[in-house]
Amino acid sequence: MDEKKENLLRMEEISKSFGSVKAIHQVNLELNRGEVLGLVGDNGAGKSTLIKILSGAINADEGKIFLNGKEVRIENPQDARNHGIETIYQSFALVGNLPIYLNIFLGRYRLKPILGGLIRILDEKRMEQESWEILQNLKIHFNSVRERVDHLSGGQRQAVAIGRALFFNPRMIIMDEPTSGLAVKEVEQIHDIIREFKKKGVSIIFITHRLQSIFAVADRVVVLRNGQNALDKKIAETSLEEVVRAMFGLHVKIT
Amino acid sequence: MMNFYLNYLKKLPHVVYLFAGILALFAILAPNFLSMTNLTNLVLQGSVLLIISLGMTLVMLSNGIDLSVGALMSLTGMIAGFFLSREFGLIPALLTSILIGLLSGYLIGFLVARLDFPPFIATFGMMGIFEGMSLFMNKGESIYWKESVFNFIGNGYLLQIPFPIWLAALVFFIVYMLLYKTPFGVNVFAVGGHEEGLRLSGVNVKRQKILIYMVSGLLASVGGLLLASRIASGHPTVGIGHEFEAIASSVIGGTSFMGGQGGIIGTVFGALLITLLRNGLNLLGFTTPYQYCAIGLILAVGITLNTLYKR
Repeated sequence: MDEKKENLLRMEEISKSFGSVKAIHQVNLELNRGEVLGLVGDNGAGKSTLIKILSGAINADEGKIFLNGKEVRIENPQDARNHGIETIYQSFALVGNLPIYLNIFLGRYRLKPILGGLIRILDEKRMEQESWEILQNLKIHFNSVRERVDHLSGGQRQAVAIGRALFFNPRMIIMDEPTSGLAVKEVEQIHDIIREFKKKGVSIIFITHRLQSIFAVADRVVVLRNGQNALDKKIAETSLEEVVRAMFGLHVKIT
Repeated sequence: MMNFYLNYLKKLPHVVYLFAGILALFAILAPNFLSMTNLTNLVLQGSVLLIISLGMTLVMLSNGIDLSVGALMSLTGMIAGFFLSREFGLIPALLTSILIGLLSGYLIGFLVARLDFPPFIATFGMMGIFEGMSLFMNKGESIYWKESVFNFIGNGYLLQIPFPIWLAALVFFIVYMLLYKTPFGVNVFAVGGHEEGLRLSGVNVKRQKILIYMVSGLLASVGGLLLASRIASGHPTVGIGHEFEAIASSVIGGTSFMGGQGGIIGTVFGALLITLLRNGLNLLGFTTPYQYCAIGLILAVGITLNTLYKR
């Protein structure tokens, strides 16, 4: 296939400083259609900064973002969403005191007209129903979508966050540490969900420092070190040792 | 069927039991307490507090506080008086007062949302400004007006029920729909629960906060108008202290200072409970100082109950 057509996202020479600290400096990132990209790096390497720029949570100082070869501006989370980019944040960005179904529809509620279309109110039945269906597809157990999110387990919360991202048929999903703090069984479930996305042709950027996860599900790995590109290789063409070396910039012997 | 009722009872805010208990206590102790006249009177007395408390609850659910409510009530009364005493007519008096309420809310919201003032400081400052303005309007004196349709708001009857009760019921219904049936309402709880999460979901949180303070300002001006109508005059300091009673109503009703927890059903009972204490103690011959102490005490009991039985 033509190389150009396959390319979904290209971030070019992105830089961002916080005060006098350069968080990332002229970083490049590419993502192909249907690809699972693992983005790794030590703490403070700039992974989160880079994806926050892509998801509109913060704005870059310099650099360009291309989607399907066309330059786009992403200035806030809504812009990113309009371009089909959904983000699942490390801190979940879920609102604990709200029930599951309102979290899934947070900020884009389903409404129904009453009084002959004079005003529109929340369509709770529909939101509950649709939330239930989407969560069933993820194969993680829930009692009821009316449960408050702060009463859920880590894996269930992650599923809610994923369900929320899934709902609007995104082209690309960014996952920031989706497996941190989860039990082993739950990590496997998240891996399955990522493979499922891939089958459906959704592209995924997957941030983690659990390198086993990268080798289990990713097609390609990009390593950042001190806010700069350190490695960009297909999983099949690299090794754990090479990735670790790129992350820390030293020769480490892995046994 | 029994189970259904039991479940329903469990869901009610704890203030309902407190309210029922004290209601029973007064019913036994004070003669005439349960008379229809006195009960109607009770709700009538509570209507002003109820209206402004609903606004306060919205603000507190979103993790804010509005100390300017009482002073804004004084100011709206004075503004209405300014128009009525010069016989500019009812409509300009009402419209201007309501507009001032919305504008004040917008200003506070602007300070809190855009300039990142802590709500306590922003509304504390506005409280001073509003109070100063009300005193300035007639050199510290009250404003009186000739008999006017305006006085119907606070003293009239509709179908043998005092008009303020209708007004309070209408306001409750509108706020109920707004809070539990619209995106605005979900966003109120979400701002209080996890503001950053709401922002990352693409909601304009700053605009949402401004709207919340505008609702509070609007309800304060409605309460101010009702109060002015009841006493048939604009008094520059009449609203002072109402902000604290509104906070007390919300807190007794189970709304948390931390934001995101609580609701307006509890607030209704909180406001009625405070009014009930006043009314019952009055009937038993206890004067204002005792009533203040009693309200303070019930606030402590209410908070303790809410902490002990946190869901």
